[in-house]
Amino acid sequence: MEIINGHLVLVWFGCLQIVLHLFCYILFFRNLPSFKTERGIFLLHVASFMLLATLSAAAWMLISPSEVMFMAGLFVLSLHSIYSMSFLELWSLSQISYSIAILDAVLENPRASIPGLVDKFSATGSEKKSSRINGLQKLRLIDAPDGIASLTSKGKVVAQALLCLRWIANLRNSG
Amino acid sequence: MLAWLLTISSSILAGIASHAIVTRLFPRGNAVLLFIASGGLVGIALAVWTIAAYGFFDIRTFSLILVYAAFCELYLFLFTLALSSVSANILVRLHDGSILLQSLDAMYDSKHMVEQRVARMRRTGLLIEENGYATTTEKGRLITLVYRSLRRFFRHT
Repeated sequence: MEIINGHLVLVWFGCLQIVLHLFCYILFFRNLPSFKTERGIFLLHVASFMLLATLSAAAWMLISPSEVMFMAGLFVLSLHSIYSMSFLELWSLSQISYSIAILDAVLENPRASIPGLVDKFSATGSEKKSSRINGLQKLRLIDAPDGIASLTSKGKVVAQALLCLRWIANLRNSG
Repeated sequence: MLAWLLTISSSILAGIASHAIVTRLFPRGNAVLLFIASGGLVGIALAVWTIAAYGFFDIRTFSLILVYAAFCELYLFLFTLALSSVSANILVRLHDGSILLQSLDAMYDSKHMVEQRVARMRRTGLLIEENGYATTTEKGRLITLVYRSLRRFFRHT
């Protein structure tokens, strides 16, 4: 009976933490400049996940090192993962989706000319591209000494993983 | 615990394998929809198996299904990233060898990227073109309204 109650408490706590995290974001964090950046919003979710992971591990080790408690920990961590991934994908999509920004411009200006759209968004595209290359350099995935770009060893691992994903999903298109 | 671990590992592998198979059976199909279908079938099979093995209201049933669902979402995110992310495509290009930054610039010509996106949106029924002018379809309009609501919610300026 104690084991059953313990794991239910963990499940309820995990669910409550997710709900509270969302409410805190709506009430406070979304208005703070630090959490309007990719890094800030990502860290907000990582911190919440790590807190829940720590509590789940503590519950398993200290309250009941049983299979049921372990499963309860996995349940809440999976739920948090789904919540965070969905949140971050929507956050990112609404911030930087090139395609949807184009759609928005067309809706704002019905019967926009396609050459006009291409010119307008080409300028944005150039900024995106150079910030992408700079971003990859900051992440140490590429080096570009003397104007020649190449992968670092870390970049090679990431590129290989991407190729593997493309092969599995039989992808050919490029962004 | 071992049975659980074997079940989740084989479900994840089955999900990935089923996607690899259906994308080759239907090469012109939408990779996302194909995974939702194939991965979804694996998920249903997993749910039926776990309910039969552990019962409906057992935490092992819910945790197995949720771990699989989390994996599916992660996999979807990763392969859509591999498909359409500019950064991911730059990395893949560089895998074949070093490239001059100027050549990289030319490969990802901004004008071409915009034209590609407009063409993709026309193919997927979000935009229509009439005599060189673009108009959103109802589907495109709905997506844009959702996008605007999300921008307001997340306070993106």
